[in-house]
Amino acid sequence: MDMRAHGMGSIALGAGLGLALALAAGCLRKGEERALSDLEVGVVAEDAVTVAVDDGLAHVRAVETGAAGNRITLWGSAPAFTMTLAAAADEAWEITVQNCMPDAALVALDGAAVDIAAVDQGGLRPTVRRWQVTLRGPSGSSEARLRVAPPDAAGLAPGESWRFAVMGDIQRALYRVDDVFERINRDPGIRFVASTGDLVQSGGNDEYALLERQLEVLDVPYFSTIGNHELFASFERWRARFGRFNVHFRFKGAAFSLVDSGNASVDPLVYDWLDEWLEAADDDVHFFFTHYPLIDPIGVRAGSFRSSQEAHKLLDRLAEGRVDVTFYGHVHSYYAFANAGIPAYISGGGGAIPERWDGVGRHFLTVDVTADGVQSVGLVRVD
Amino acid sequence: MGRCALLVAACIALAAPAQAQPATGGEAAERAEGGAGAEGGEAAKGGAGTAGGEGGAGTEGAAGTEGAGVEPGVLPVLGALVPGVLVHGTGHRIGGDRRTANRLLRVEALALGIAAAGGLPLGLTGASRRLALPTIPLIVGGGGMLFLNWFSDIYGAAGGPRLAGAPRLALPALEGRLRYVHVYDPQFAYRSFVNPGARLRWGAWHADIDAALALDADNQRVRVEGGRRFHGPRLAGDGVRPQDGSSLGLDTALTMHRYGDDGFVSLLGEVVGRGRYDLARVAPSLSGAFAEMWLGLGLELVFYEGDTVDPTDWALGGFGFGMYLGEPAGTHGEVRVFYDHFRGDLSGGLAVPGGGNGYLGSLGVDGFVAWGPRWGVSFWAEAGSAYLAGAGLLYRRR
Repeated sequence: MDMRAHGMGSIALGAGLGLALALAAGCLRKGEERALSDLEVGVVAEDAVTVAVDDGLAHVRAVETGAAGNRITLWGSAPAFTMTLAAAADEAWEITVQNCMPDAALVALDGAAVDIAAVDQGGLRPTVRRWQVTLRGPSGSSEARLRVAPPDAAGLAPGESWRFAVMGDIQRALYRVDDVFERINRDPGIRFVASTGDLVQSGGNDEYALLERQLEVLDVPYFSTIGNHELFASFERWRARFGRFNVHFRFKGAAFSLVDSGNASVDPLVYDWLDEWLEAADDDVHFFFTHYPLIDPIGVRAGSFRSSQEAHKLLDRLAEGRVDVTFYGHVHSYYAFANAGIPAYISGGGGAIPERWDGVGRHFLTVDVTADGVQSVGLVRVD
Repeated sequence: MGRCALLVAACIALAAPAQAQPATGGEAAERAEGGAGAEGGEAAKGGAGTAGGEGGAGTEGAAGTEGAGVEPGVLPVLGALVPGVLVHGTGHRIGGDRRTANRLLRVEALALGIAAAGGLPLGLTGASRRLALPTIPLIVGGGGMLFLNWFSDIYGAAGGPRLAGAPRLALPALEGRLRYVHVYDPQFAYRSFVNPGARLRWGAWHADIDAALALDADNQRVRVEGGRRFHGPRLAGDGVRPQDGSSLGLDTALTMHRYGDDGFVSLLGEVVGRGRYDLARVAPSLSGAFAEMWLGLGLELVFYEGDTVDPTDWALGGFGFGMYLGEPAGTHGEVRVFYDHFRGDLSGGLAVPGGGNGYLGSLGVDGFVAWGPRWGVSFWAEAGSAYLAGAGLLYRRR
């Protein structure tokens, strides 16, 4: 073989391999599959029953029928949600909502003919609520709109204030995060926890099982998007347990947008949703949560979005949409700063390898909200 | 920051203490200055100025095969890939060049040590804000050395010198370029850019202006750069006779990038040290190849529509592995693969499988081919959070 041709061929092969690797590694829409899967959350159609949760704000974990009774188990991704239930008339269904607001009630909307009976809550944790629902109708199948929400979910009286907590980045400290949850329980004013992700270290099923056991310690629900650590294993593991990766909900007049940046970017499909969320909440208090800081306040460290230009574009949208506060995780410390004029907080104090010499340690944030806006953001140290 | 490039060069040199230096510096310089080889280099990467795309190694040994101890072939190349990715020098070892193989192995150990000296403290302290600045250049520098060393093994095992050419040892006073660049970024509407630029040289100094103007969106970038070369090929006729294409310089630049459709303007100032090291200095089997590294600091101000300004600082850096093509007196050029750690330009940062995102910059390939003293073409492709590809014309005058 001619050595020159041989050399050229080898180099061309190497260059080709290198470029192919670069292109494969650089697949540009890593979050697209997750965004598309969000569209299917909360919808189950079976022979005996159809459940459709508006905006996927609860995940249908199980539908069981049989001699032992008919059961639907949901995992709440928001303090309040509405769903459509279609089933045979006069057939009883036991509906269980996990990760539910402790004071949530289930009510029928639009004057639907439904019998709702509270099931004895004895033995259930505060964040598990259960009801017996029977649809009524002339014959055959029937359909009803149902809403699960605390009585005060919709409004905020003048002068009234309420509180939620923010945390993220539990990772390897999952085995001892119950300390943090117990500290949250000691504050009865906290209505729920909003999380920026990295709840597990490597996404193993055993970790998710432990996470659910630890969440049983918590007296309020825990609403979260994912971080990058959930993506060290198949994202289906998250979806199968908790449903959506991108969540938007409203509570007491405030809007909450929890956006999946697990790949250090946001999928364009989610940007379309975010535009709608920003427009709908233009006049309201609006909190934005995502795992990666859009810009790392320690710039040279660059623990932030893959593309700072995308981050600036997103910040401009958030500022234009008059978002009140942005919350991030990923950096295992506490930072308070401003981005594009919006107050910003990094709270990665769930227990993952802490940033040394920052004087913070494990922590969570509390956010007090009034009708006028955000009253305060406080740092609560756990250790 | 140029110290790191020097460190890399010194490390490679230390790893190869007995290697004879290429003997042609003066002759090659004379040949380049006196003949048609007076074409200058160009800023190879889209005007972002991160490529040390000028100068060159070469020397007479670059294009020849005399003294190359490795017997290239398919097996050495395969060995250089696996297990060579872990055990550097495997390709040369299989090809019968134990001396170079051992050198590459020593450089690998050194590179691992440097990367670990940065990575371990940063990882163990939860990426402490106090350690980010001193450790990240070590990670980029050590990681760069690792890749450059691995590529060197592949290059030698593949018989790179049989294909490679010689560097230009004297550079032109004026270089102009005009390129078209296509960008695919799912986050932005722009796709087509026109990319004009020019570089002027006097003595050891240079000034560069580069623009990227979107043809289908409201997006414009303008960059001005000035710098000094302390070592290596310079302007033709200034009396400097470099030994080869190795070079060392310091650049300062100011880049304004306006995202008119997206509501912000970025202003970036930077200071960057750049080094190129001709690998013929390491072993004859690496003749015609060069390694580059650049490290620096940037300060960026981002202006939003709401009259707010966000400042941020950047650790700049990257590395490249390339080879010379042809002889300066005739058709010649360079081709290079590179990694750029900066994530604030059009290319952004790579996504990787799994959860390890948000740490990498972009990968690319660029280069040029000139078919005479004045005219040539340049090309460039890059993958980060966007795909970029561009090509265009070069023009040079002494």
